Amino acid sequence: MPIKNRSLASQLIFFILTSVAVIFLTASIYSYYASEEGIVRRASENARHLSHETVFRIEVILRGVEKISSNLAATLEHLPWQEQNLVPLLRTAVSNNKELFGLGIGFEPYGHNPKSLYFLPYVFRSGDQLRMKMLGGESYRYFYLDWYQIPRELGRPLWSEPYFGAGNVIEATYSVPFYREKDGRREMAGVVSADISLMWLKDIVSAVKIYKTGYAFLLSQNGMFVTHPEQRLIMRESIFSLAEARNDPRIREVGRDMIRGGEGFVPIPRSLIGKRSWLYYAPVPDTGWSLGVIFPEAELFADAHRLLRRSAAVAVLGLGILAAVIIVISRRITRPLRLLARKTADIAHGDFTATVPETGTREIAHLAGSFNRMGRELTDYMEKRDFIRDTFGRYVTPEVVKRLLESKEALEMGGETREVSLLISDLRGFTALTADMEPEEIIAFLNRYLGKMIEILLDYRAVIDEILGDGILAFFGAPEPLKDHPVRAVACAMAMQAAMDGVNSLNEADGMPILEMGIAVNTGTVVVGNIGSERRSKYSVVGAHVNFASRIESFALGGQVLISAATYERVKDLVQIGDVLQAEMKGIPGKSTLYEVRAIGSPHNIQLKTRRQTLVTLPEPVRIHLLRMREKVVVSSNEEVWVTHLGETAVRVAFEGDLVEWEDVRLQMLNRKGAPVPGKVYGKVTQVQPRAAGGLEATIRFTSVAPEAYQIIRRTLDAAAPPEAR
Amino acid sequence: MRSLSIRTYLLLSYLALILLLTVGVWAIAEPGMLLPGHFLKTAAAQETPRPQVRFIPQWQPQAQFAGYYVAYEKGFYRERGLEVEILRGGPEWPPSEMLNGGRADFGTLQLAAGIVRRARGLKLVNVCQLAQHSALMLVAKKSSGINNPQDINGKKVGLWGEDFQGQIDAFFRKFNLKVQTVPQGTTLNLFLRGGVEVASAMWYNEYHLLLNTGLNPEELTTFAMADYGFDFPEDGIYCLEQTIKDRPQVCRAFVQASIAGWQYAFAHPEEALDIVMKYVDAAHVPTDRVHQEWMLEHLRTMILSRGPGGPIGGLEREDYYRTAEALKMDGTIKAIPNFSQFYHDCANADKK
Repeated sequence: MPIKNRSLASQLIFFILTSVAVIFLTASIYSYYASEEGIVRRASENARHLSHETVFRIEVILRGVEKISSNLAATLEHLPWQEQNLVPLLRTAVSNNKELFGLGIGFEPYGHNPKSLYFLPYVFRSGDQLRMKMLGGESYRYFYLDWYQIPRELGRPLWSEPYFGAGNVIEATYSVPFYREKDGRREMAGVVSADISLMWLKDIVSAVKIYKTGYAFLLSQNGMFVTHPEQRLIMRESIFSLAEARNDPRIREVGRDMIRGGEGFVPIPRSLIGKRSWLYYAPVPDTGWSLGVIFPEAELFADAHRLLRRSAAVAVLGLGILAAVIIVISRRITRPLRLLARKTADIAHGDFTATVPETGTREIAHLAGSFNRMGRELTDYMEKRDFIRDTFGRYVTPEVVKRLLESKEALEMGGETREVSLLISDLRGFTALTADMEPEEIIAFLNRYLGKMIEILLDYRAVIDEILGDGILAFFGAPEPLKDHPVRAVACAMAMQAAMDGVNSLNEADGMPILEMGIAVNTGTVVVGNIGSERRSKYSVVGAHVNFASRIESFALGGQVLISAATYERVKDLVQIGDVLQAEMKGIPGKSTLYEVRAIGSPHNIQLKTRRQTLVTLPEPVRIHLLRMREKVVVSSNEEVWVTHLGETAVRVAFEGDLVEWEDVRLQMLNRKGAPVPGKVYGKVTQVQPRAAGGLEATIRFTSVAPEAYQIIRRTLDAAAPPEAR
Repeated sequence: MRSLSIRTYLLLSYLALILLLTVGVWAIAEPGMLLPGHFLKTAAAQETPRPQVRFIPQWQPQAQFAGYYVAYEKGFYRERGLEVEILRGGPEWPPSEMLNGGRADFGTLQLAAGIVRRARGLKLVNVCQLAQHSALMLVAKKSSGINNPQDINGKKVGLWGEDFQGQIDAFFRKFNLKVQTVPQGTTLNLFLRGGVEVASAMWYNEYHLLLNTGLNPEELTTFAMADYGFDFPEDGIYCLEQTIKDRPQVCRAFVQASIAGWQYAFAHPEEALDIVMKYVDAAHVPTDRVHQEWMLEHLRTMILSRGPGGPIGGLEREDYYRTAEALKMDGTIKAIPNFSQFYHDCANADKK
């Protein structure tokens, strides 16, 4: 399994334990070696002191003996000698020095007595006594023995190699050659030899106790063991024969250094005593011997080894505990992480309300906090986004919103030429009707109307370009191309008109004016696109056809849907036409044909209610005031106007004066006294013709009627006409 | 018949055990006791006094004489009807003098020494030649500046004495060396302490001793006599001419038993070493088993020179004359003793 995918616990264990183990191992090894080194140094110091002390004790005795021989030799050189003198001299010397075993003087051939080849008086201890023996003869040709021959040839005093003396005792001899003048020449006269037993040596050396099994030994100048705990080695084996027997050249090298008078503290291989040890060796200068002290390594380092063993045990235990702790902690750490992982999956699935508890270690709590915050902010964000989209959608057609949200290109300025169908609607006389209302009332009133209209427009997939007060400008066929945009537009217009009844019922119930809406539809090629700048723009439509549609709208009476010839061409098979108007438009030569649509076929199937078009003849003309309007401003007033025919949607009047077709007028009804009653009525002059009875009459179509006025009109109609006519 | 009771059984067992033990002890005490005819032989032997034979080795007890010690300990001499006393040898007891003085019946000598003695009048005869080659050498420390024979000129040289000087004198003469002779004893301490610059040594003995005092081979210059044309056969068994005339059987018995001892020693080196060490300890010779092992091993090459299965103990005519010629040529002897007078082969003669 690759490291990456292993659990936190195992990764931690692996890395931490390995590191800890390495660190501990390094520390242990270092401290062990350091302590070993320290121990070695201390042991070396101790050994040095011990060795020097032992050597000193040995030398004290040796020096004593040397002095005896030297003094005797000096005496012999200066004083004449005779046998009587010599022996007492020897006796005195031996009895005074208890270390001495024997003392003798060996003379050169014929050196003492010209008749005697050998002459060697020798005094020695025998039990408590001192005995004298004259040595030298055929069986004891001392000239060729080491104690005599070597000092003779070397010309100086020296200690002999240890040897086995009488009674199986190890002895050594200190020999001093003495000289005399003969014929002007200094020649050797003989050798004084002092024999000492080396048993005391054994005592001194074996008194050296090292730990449990350490010991000291002494080597002769030839490397022979003079003392050693192992009896069989003494005077039998040398350190070199031991090295040969053990087949270890290292021991030989140590031995060589020892007999050369070296001093040192060296490690000794296992082969010497069966276990690893250290050897301190120091020379005994007088004799050329060497003292060695053995320190068994196990005992030397016993403490350090124990420490190491115990540390190792502690380490193993510690690592075990560490591992357990790591496992526990890592599980505690990862528990919230695991929980977090699960909750993240929840969030991924859309549930932004998933939360994790903000507990545990600081970092984890932090993470949990961030996670929860993220959830909340995602929720906020989603809400905001939805809010924006919805709000956006309120201000911009969902089509456009969708387009904008889908692609960035849609935000680009610029436009395209498209054939669209334009729909413009307007409330007749809204401004006048609401002049007396409170602003809040006006907005509520307007929004009720607009709400319904917008709903219908959106259903028919119109792009609502503009809502200017009570007027709506919408278009069909952009940005998404719609093949049936003319049909759609007309059907939408029809639906809007059909919905007015519902709106008006609500208005009436609330005491608000009845509204009449006029809708115009035109089809043509326009330019659509983001009009404005990056800071403020609108997806809108521009072109001559837009203006044209607006003009058509002004001709539309309340409840009427007027379409252009262009639109008619596209929808003629589906629609049922009512009136056809020939209107004169400003800026357009000739007349333009406008068609009133009364119904549209499938699939839309909308039919407009036939309004009570019938004009009821009034029993007698009713006088009213007429105000001529231009751009919603009263320009003149005419009081010579009598209503001859009355309908729900129009009125025919006889008048004096001027009236122009398509002129906007306002009618004021009068009470019995001839004063205007409240209730505004607005209308458009649709026809002016001469009267049969002379004078002029005009047909005026209502564009908006105030509720009070509408009451009066209805009362009047009800009074004048039977109900079946409706 | 009533079966034997338990008590009776035990009693009989005890008696049988005691009988067995006695016989066993007896058998151990007297090897060969169980062989038929032993009792008769012993009785006979006890009646006639066995001839006393004194044997003097040319040096102190060591593996150089292992064959004799082994032959004694294993009873080879006794088997042949000899009662041998092995004397303690050493430089104070030169074998030629011991034989001459009648203090020993047989002794070992180097061939050159034997020839020289014979040439100078001592009626010695060689009855067995054991070592077929020479192990004699001169040794010097390189640190004293001696690297080739010429460097020995004018130096102090330790020599063992007449019986060991034949080849060395020839060597000195060959290279025209004038030296200061210093008598050398059983130790090399004089040499080690610098009392002499050159020491005599046997390849199988003193050379190894030197190594075991810490000197490394590369620190020593050695002059082996064999390398300079003096590869004379060395150790052989000698007696006076009178002895071989009077008691030829004794000579033959002694020689053959000794040879048997040598063969046994080479076949059972560990046992031989045990025996040697016994003699070494008794004489307080400062040596150790490892050294004796070295010695025995090198002696084997010198004695068994004709191969492990070959005959030992014979003196070849050409070896004799080669040695004698060399001695004559450098003036050590004037005339070459007659070979057939000098050598009496007791090794391969028929057993009695």
